[in-house]
Amino acid sequence: MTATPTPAVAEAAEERIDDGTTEIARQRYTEAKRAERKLGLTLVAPAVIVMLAVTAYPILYAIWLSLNQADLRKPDANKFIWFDNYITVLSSPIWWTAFGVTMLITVVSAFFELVLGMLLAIVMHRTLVGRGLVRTSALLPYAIVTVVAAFSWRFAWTADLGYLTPEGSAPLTKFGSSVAIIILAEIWKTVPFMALLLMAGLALVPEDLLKAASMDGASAWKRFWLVTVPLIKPAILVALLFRTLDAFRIFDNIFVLTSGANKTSSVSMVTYSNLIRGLNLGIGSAMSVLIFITTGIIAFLFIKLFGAAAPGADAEGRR
Amino acid sequence: MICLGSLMALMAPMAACSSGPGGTVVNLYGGASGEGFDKILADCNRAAGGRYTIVGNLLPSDADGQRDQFVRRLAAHDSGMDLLGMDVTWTAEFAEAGWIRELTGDQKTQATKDTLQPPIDTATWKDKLYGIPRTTNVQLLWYRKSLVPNPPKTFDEMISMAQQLKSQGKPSEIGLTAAQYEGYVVNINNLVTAYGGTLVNENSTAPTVDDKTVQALQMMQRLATSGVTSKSLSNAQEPEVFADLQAGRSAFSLNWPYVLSAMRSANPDMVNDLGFAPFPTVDGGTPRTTLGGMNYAISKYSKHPAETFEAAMCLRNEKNALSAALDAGDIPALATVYQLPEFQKAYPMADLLLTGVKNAVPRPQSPVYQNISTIVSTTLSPPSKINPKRSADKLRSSIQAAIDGKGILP
Repeated sequence: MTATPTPAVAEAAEERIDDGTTEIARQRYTEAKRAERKLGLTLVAPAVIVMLAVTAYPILYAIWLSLNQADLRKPDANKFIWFDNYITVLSSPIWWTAFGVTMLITVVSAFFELVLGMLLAIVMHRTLVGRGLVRTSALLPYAIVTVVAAFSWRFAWTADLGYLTPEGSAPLTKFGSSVAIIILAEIWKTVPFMALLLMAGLALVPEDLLKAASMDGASAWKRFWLVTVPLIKPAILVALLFRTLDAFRIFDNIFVLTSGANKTSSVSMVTYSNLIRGLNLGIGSAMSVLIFITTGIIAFLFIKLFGAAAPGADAEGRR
Repeated sequence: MICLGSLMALMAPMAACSSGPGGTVVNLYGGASGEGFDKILADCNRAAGGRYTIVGNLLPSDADGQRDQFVRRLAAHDSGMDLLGMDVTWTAEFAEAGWIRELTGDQKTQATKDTLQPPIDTATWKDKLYGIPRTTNVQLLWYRKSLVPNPPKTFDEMISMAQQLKSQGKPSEIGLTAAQYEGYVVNINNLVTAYGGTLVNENSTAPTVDDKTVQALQMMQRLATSGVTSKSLSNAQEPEVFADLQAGRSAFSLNWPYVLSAMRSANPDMVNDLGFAPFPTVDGGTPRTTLGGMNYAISKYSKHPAETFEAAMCLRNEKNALSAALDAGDIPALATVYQLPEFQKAYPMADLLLTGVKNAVPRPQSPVYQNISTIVSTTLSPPSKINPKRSADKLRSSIQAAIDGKGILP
């Protein structure tokens, strides 16, 4: 089958050769890319496996448990009951009281932490003398173990003993004052963290812009509100997002201060009582999943509605 | 300490000679930190003659924390716990879960010999014995002799006496525990049994909240609103109730037997004015109050059940029960101790205690007691806001939900 090339065929062949080279180039390129991809996947595989083992598996197992009647005291009575546990939890006033208390603590503490954190950030950013000392001392509360700090708050507010307790009152035995003390402990503890995140944002504001605004006659408040705040908005949103998610899962402060007495339980406290104290894996897992979903919704709202971006994400990632 | 056993037998697992004494170790959890308990431990270790060593391990100081640790480790089949010092209210839960061993045959005979029946009842679930009663407890009526010449027999009498004292401007308060915690459940149970009622049926399959419960709640509400209780009644636990008596505000105090020895050191001037009487009733009959105390149970996962049983029997024998009563104020479950002269000297109310314990009743026996207790204390707190009928209805439906495994804990 010898072929005598006709001009047309030669032309076509020439074309084909042309096509062939680009194809080969493309092929080489994709091969290289594929190899690189493969290498990349191989390199991340250990991390992915570890993540699957320590994160995905427990999450899926918790979801599975939440669909079962499972009590460690009656291991033989386990059975699949669809969404009964969720119905039990969501129709319980105990859950909704805890949910309300948690939301209250989250919103109030995040608000005060933002305002005070911003003030502290500005102080730390603007300090000229003893900058290291100011920053170190401001960060001290954050360095103290929460449980230790919570114990000292508890003793300070104990009736007849505490140095902060007014004579003849027992603030940790009433709902209102207990919640106020829990929020206070939270704020005291995490303002430095907030300030740290915000200070990183402040460092990005160009001095020139502030000077130019000052030249145009903008007051200090206007410079802050119209120049600084818009520029550090990403930092503010990230800080708020982190704090909201953290505050929603509050446990240690409440556990030490009131152990949930007088209806001060947070959702995490209620989950603990049912899961660890009550050994009711079904109900407890349903609660864990509900907390997981709620934090997911909070993160979603922050990212989609307010345009918070994960630290390190490029501008395209923001919307 | 060197573990010769595992040096000689190389195949022996290292766990067999973990830190601490060599040989067989009986790990005791619960009640190991009482005053003078080291003496008792040393005595029993001597008696064991080297066959085993009892090691007392510490638990959290509050009952909830203790139970948390027990259930977490037992649910995980932890073999590191042998002897469990259990609150009398945990028997049904632990037995139903299969965490503690049933005592049968000779062990059962030994564990119940000379032991008062009501404490045995607290260690029994569905007609099987699961514990060795160690201590028991029962509340008494404490009163000021100078204010109250004849102690009241019924709640009605007590309330009217207190009101009379109040109108004369004398100390008049009735002290009782009514904060939102276990001690309040004890008092509610006292009243429910006084009217002849119960909260759950025998095998804990259904709530038994009825008109007797309603009457009991009426009485608690009346007591709280009659103006003769402390202003901080809804926060009162044992220490507060004791403090009210010590400071001279109370004329009557419903509290455990520790009051006498505590008053000897807290306010010696008052000891001579301090009277004790049987707990008040509703009809002047025999008081049937709520039992406290502690039982020893053997963990299902213990590797040395025989030694553990022997250890428990030693820790609560007559000599050691007396020593615990004198040093730590533990009221013995052994009937014979009440006759000992040393005991009667330290406890002038010994006869009253013995009658009290003999007529006492356990708290609701149920595998979900923890839930029931929480339901009772939260539903009925504060006592002045009780609405007898409505609160009883709520109790009934919540207890039913807890039994069905549908209730959630706050």
